[in-house]
Amino acid sequence: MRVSERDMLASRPLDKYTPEETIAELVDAVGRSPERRDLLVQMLPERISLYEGRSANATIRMRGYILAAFEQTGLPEAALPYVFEELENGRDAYLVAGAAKALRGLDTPTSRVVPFLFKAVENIRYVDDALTFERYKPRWPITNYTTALTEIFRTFGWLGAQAKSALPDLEALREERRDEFSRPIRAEIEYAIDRIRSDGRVAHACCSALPANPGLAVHSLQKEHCKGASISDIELEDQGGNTLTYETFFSRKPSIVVFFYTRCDNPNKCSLTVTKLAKLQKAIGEEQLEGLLRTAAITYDPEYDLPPRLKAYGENRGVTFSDDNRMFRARTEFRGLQEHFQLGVNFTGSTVNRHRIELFVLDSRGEIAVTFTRLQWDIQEVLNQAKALLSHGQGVG
Amino acid sequence: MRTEITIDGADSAGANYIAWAPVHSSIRLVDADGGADSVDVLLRNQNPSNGGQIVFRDAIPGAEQDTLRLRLPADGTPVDFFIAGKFRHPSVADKDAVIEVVEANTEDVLSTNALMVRIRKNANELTEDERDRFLSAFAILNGGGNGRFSAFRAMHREKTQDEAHNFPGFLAWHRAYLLDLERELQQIDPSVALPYWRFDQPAPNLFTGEFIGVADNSGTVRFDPGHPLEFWATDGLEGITRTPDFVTSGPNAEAATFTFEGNRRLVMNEARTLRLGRPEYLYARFVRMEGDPHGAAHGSFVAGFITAIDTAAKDPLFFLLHANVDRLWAKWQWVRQRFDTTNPATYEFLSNAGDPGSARVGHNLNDTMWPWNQVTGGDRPVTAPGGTLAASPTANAPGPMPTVGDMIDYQGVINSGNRLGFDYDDVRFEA
Amino acid sequence: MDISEDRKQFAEQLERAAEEQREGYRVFSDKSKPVHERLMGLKRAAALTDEDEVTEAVDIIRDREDDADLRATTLLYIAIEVSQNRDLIDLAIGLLRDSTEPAVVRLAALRVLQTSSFRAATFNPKRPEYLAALRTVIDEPNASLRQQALEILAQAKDEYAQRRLLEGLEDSSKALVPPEKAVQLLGYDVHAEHYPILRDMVQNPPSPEAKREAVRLLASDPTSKDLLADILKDKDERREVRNASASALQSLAPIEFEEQAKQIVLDDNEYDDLRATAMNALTLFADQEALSQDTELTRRVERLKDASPSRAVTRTADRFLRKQRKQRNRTIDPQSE
Repeated sequence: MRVSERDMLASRPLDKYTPEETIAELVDAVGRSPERRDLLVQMLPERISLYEGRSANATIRMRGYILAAFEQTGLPEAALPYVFEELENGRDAYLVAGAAKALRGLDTPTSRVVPFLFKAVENIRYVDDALTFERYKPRWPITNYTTALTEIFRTFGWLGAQAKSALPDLEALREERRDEFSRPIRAEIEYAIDRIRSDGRVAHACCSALPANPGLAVHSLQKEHCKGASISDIELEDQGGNTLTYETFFSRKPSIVVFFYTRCDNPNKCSLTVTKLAKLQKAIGEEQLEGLLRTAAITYDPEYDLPPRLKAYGENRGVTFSDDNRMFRARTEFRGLQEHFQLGVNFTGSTVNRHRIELFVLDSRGEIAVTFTRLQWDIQEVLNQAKALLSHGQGVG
Repeated sequence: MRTEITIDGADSAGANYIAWAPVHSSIRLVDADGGADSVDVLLRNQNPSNGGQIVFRDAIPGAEQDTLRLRLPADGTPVDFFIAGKFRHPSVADKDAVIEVVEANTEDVLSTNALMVRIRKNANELTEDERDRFLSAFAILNGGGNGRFSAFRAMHREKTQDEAHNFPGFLAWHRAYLLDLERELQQIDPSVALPYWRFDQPAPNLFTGEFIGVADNSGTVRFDPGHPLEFWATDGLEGITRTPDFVTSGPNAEAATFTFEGNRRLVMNEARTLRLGRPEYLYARFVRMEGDPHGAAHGSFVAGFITAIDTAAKDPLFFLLHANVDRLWAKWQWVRQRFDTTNPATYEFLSNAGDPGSARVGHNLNDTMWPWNQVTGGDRPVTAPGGTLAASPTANAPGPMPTVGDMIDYQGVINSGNRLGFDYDDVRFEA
Repeated sequence: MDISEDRKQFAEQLERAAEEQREGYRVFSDKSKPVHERLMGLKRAAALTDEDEVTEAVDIIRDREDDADLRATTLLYIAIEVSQNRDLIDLAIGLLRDSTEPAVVRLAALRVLQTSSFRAATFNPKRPEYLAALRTVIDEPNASLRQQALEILAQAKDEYAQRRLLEGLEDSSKALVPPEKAVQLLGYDVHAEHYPILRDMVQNPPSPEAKREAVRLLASDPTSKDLLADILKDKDERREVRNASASALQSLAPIEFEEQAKQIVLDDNEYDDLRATAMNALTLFADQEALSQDTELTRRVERLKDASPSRAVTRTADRFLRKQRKQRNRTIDPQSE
C-alpha cells in the first residue's frame, strides 16, 4: 500500500518488518525534502532493528541507497564516518558507489576526502560492478548503469580545486596504470583531471567540518562505573576451551579488545583486525608492557565460532595466546556484550549480516575508556591510549 | 665391518626423500677389519625389480649407473658420491627404494638405507595406497575447515589476484604455492607428493567417489562413505560443488572439454602447449598458457568452485589442475633448456620492481613474492596469510621468502643449491 | 633410454603433433570444405594462436551469416587470445548480450569469458559489463545459458541473482531453476537469508536430493544443530541424508557429534555407510589420546576391520586403528613418528 509522503516523513517506526520497498520510498521522499535528511542518518547505525533478520545483500542494498541519497539531500557531518568507512574498507561496489556519491552532498568540497577516494579505488577495482541508484531493486537489463569507479572519479571531478593534491596520482593512474582501467573509466579520470585543473577556486586547507579522527572516541575516565552485574558475570570461553567470566579477564589490567567473526568475507575488516591485533601484541612485547596489558578478540558469532575455530583463525594470523592474550566467544548472553559495548553489528538468524570495525580500550575496571570504530585503527595510537591508562593510574587495579 | 651412508637432506627421523635431481651423499667404513688400507664396495638397489630405484654417480657431471663401485679408506674417511631416483622408476610406498652396500669381493652386505623416490605423479595412475595417503594428509590439513588449509584458500582470492595472475610471475607464483602446500602435506605424511590432473587425457580413476569425488545431479561432489575428504569445508561451508562439462568416468571418459549445444572443444593438449613461444620459445610467449590450457581447464566445468578465481582453491582438484600446469612448464623448461635465469628466454623480466621496463611488483626475477614475503599494504593485499614458505629437510631452496627467480631452476640444473626437492614422473633431470 | 634418445623421440613427437596441427588448420581455413570437416580440422589444430590464425578466426566469428557452430567453436579455439585482448573480450560480451545471436554462439562467448576471467588484470576492467550481461541472460529461454549465467552470478554472491532465486522459491511460477538447485546457489553465500527455507525444505522436501542438499547447507546455521542431530539419530531417514547430517553436525557441534559417532560405531544395527563416516570423523577430529582409553570402541573397530563385508567400513577401520597405534607409540616414545 503506498502511503502519503507526509505520513512517510512523519516519525514512524522502522523495523525489521518494514518492507525494503517502503524504506526505499522513505529515502526517496527525504530526497525530495532534504531538510529531513537526519532521518537518513538515523537509518545508518548497524545495530538498529531495521537490519535485523535481513540478508547481507539486503542490508547492502538499503545502506547503499541511503548513502547515495545524501548527494541530493546534502551530507550531514553525522553521516561522514559511515561514508569514510565504506571508502576506506568497503568491498561492495554498490556501497562504495553510494559513499562516493554521498560526498558530493558536502556543503563545501574538501581535500580531506582525497585519501579516502584513492583507497576506494584500490579496494574496488578488482570487484567493480554495474549498478544503478535510479530505482531500488531494479530489474535487468539496465542500459544506463554506473559503476563504483565511475562515481569515485566523478567525485574527484566535483572536488575541483580541492583535489589539486590528487593530480599527480590521478595522472599516474591515467598514464602508468592506464591498463588497469576500461576506456569509460579512463575517460572519467581524464574528465576529473580536467575539472580539477580548470577549477579557478583556491584550494584551501579548511577541514573544519570534519573531525580529525572520525573513528576515535575518548570516553571520560571519570565516568561512573556503569558496568552492570550482568556483564561482569557473562561467561566467556577462550580458544583453548577455558571458561571464565568477563570480570575475571577484563579487570585489574587495562585491555584492548576487538570484535570479529571467522566467517567475515571482507578482508579489510575481521581478517585485518585480527592480523593487526597480532602486531599489537608484538608491539606490547617490544615496549616491555607484557603482563601490564591484555588483548582479546571476541567473536560476534559465538554459536559458530567454537574454540578450535577461534584458535585456527588467530594462529593463521600470527596471534600468540597466553593468559593475557586470548580469543573468546560468549557462551551465553552475547546480547549483554552487545548492549554494553553498543556493538555495531546485526544478524540474520544467528549469522552476522553487517558489522563495523570496532576496537575498545578498557581500563582496569573493564570500563570502556576509548573506542576506535569504523576506520582502520593505528597500532601505535591504540597502544598509546592503553599506555595512558597505565600512567593515569588505571593500571593494575 | 659395516658402512654408513649419509645423504644430504635427511628429515628429523633420518628419513630421506629424493627425486630425479642428484643429491650429494657420502659413505664411510665403520669398524673396518684390520689389515687392508681400503675396501672395495658396491652400491646397488636391493630390489631391482620392485619399488623405487636409485642411480648413482661418482661425480657431477658424470654418467648415472645402476651400481657404483667405490674404494673406501679403512680409516673411515668418507667418500663422496651422488644418488638420484632412476627416471621412470619412482617409489610407490615409503622407503621402498633400498640402497644395499656389499663388499665387492664377498658380496657381504655391509649396510642398507631405505629411502623414497618421491615423485609427483599422474593422479590417474596412482595406486590405492598412494591416493589414500595423499587424501588423508589433505583432509588433516583441511581439518574440517579449521586447519592450516584455510591460509592456502585465503591466498588465492579475487582480491589477491594481481599477485598470482595475468603478469609474468603467474607460473612462478603457483609453483611456490604448490610447493608450500606440498611441504605442509609432507609435514603430516612425508611420503606424500602432490599428484597432477593430466587434463588433456581422460582420467577415469581420478573422478571417482574414492578419489576426487563425483558430482551428483545438483553439482555437489559426493565421496564414498569413510572417504578422508568427507568432511571437507571452506569458508564455513561444507562440501564442494563441481559440474564437469565432459564425461569423467567409465569407458567413455574424456579429456577436459567444453561442451555446448552438441559442439565440443578440448582444452589445449600438451604437444600444442609445448609449442607455445615458437619460434624462439620465449617465456614471454609461453606464459600465455595462462589463458589456455590453464584457463580452459578451469572453464571445462559448467559450474562449481573451480570455475572462478575467487573460489577455485576451495576445491582440492584445483591443486591437481595446477600441478599439471606446473608440469607443463617444467616440461617446456626441459625441452627448451630454460633454467638459466640470466637468459631472457627463460624469464623476461630480469630485474627488480621499479627498474625501467620492469613488471608489476612481485613479478620481476629478483622480487620476493606475496604472501611469503609478508609484505602488506600499498600495492599489496592488506594481509599475508600463511606466513613464510614451508621449509623442507630435503632441500634448502627456495628459502622462506622466495623470489620469482628462485622457482625457475627447480631441479638445480644450473646450480645444485637451487634444487627445490620435487620432480614430475615424466620430466627428467638433464645436467 | 638415454637422455639424447629420449630428447630425440620427444622432439619427433612434437614435430608430428605440429604437422597434425598445421594440417588441421589448413582444413579449418578451407572455406570450400563442409562445416563438420572444418570443425574436425579445428580440433586437430588444437588452438589458434598465430596472428594470421586469430585474424581469420575473428572474421569468422563476426560473420553472422556463417555457420553458428563454426563461429562458436572458433571462438573457443582462440581462448588464449581473448584472455589477453580487451577488444576481443568486448566482442565476446557483445555476443553474450545479443539475444539475436544463436544460443550456441552466446554459450561459447560465456565460456570463453569465464576462462578469460582468470587473466584477471586484463579482464577486471570488463567485470561490470560482464556482470551486466550475465544478469540479462538469466531470463533467456535457453536453459544452459540461463543456468550457467546464474551459477556464475551466484558464486559471486550477486545481489540480483539472490533476489531472483528467492523470488522463485516463494513463487514457483518465477523459478529459474529447480528448488534444490536454487538453495544450492543461495548457499554460496552464508550471509544469505535462506536458512528458514532450508529448514522448511528439510521438513517438506520437494525431492530426496533437495533434502540432502538442504541438510548439507544447514552446516552453516548453528540454530539447526538440534534438527541435524535428530536427523542423524533417525534410523528411518535415508542414509544419504543421515551422512550429510553427520558432516554438518561435525562442523557445528563437534563434541556432541563425537558422542553420536561413537554410538553409531558401536551399534551393529547401523548402516555400514554411516559407521564408515563415523569412524572417519573420529579418526580425523577426535582427541586420539582420549579415544585410546575407550577400549570397547577400539575392540569393536578391530572386529569391524576383520569381519565387515563393507569395504568402506574395513578401510576406515584400518585407518582408525593405524592412527590409534601411532598415538600409542607416541605415548610410549614421544620421539617416535
